[in-house]
Amino acid sequence: MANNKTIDQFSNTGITKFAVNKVILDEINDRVISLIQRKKKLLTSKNKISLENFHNSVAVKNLNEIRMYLYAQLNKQDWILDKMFELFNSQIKLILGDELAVQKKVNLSIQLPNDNSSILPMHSDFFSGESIYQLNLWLPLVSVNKTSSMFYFLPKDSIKMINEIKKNSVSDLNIIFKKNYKKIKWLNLKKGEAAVFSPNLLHGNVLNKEKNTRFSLNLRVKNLYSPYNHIYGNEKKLGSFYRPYNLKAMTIFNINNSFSFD
Amino acid sequence: MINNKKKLVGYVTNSNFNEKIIPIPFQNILLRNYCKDNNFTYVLPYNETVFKNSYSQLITLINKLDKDSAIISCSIFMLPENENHVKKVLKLLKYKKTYIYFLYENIFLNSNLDSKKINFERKLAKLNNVFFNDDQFKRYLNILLNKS
Ligand SMILES: [Fe+2]
Repeated sequence: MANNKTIDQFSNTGITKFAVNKVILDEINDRVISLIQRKKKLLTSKNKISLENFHNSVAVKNLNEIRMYLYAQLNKQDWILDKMFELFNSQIKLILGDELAVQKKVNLSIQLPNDNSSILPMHSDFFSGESIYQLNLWLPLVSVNKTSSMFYFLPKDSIKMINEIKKNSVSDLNIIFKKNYKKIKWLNLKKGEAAVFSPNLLHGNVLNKEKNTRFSLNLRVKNLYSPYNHIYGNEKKLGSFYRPYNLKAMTIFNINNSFSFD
Repeated sequence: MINNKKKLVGYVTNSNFNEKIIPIPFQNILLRNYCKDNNFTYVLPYNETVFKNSYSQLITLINKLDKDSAIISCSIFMLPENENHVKKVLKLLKYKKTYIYFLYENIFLNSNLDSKKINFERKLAKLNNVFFNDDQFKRYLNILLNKS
């Protein structure tokens, strides 16, 4: 039943939310906090670290250093990648299948209240050549609401706006965004919830005007055999941007043995 | 105008420019290194869309620039092909009292003179295809040989 709901919802809207395994989520949470504690020199307060209130413990100028440190440490030996796959396993199976191509590392985003240095303007991931068959896994480590979360547009609205961008080669995306602001959807999630979405939907984030900091992880996944861009020289392809995950014996057999029609 | 900027925002593309393709992570390294060596703060780049002849990200970026920021990019060949579109870019840069610095050619764009220089350089590069390609050369050589 839950499976049909996920499939229907995703097929229609390109996005679906769900509750995650709390034990794994806590494990990630604890790991992030213990890593932050190792960077005491970069913190402004000695109080116990809370991710929601992280803005009280750090200066904006040190934020990127902490983010880069967490990113490197979490991705060591694919620790965080494996956790993400555990958490999103059923959604990935339902939407993409088993044999996958995955972005090389899991991304970490930290949005402090009123920090304009980490705003990600409206875009679709395929604007830079990423596959239109890509699924984005999105896991907040805190509750996110409105401006502390991300925005997106529904498929029909996205297509209309993307056509406008394609039609005018010198269009300003912010003007198009403002013009369509009323159609915006916010991805509101409680702590313990996650989402998967097609990044073809126009999405991004704005200045965080809420009281809490946002910590979130994201990862791009696609089926190994779904189409990649065919733009000459574009790097968003298998081997450069995506790596195989869960390769099946048939694929490995054909990599090892060069049978061909030519 | 050029001296009062503290931050340079990257502008990158994963399409080819003047027959070159540089993966974005490497463009980032080049641009970041320039900023480091010249005491600018490097701001993470806007990535141009892959749509044919689209410069929306560049226009969006210029319109969004803060007072203390300019743009850094690898090459003048990342600018629009269409000269009127370059004029539009220049007009916006002037309005925002800012510039684009192109690392590879070491050229700034913030005046009509710069724009002329850039146009000249780009037309010069096009000559490679018009005059100096092998076929043309061979045809020319044949004419010369037949005459002698
Ligand atoms: Fe995205």
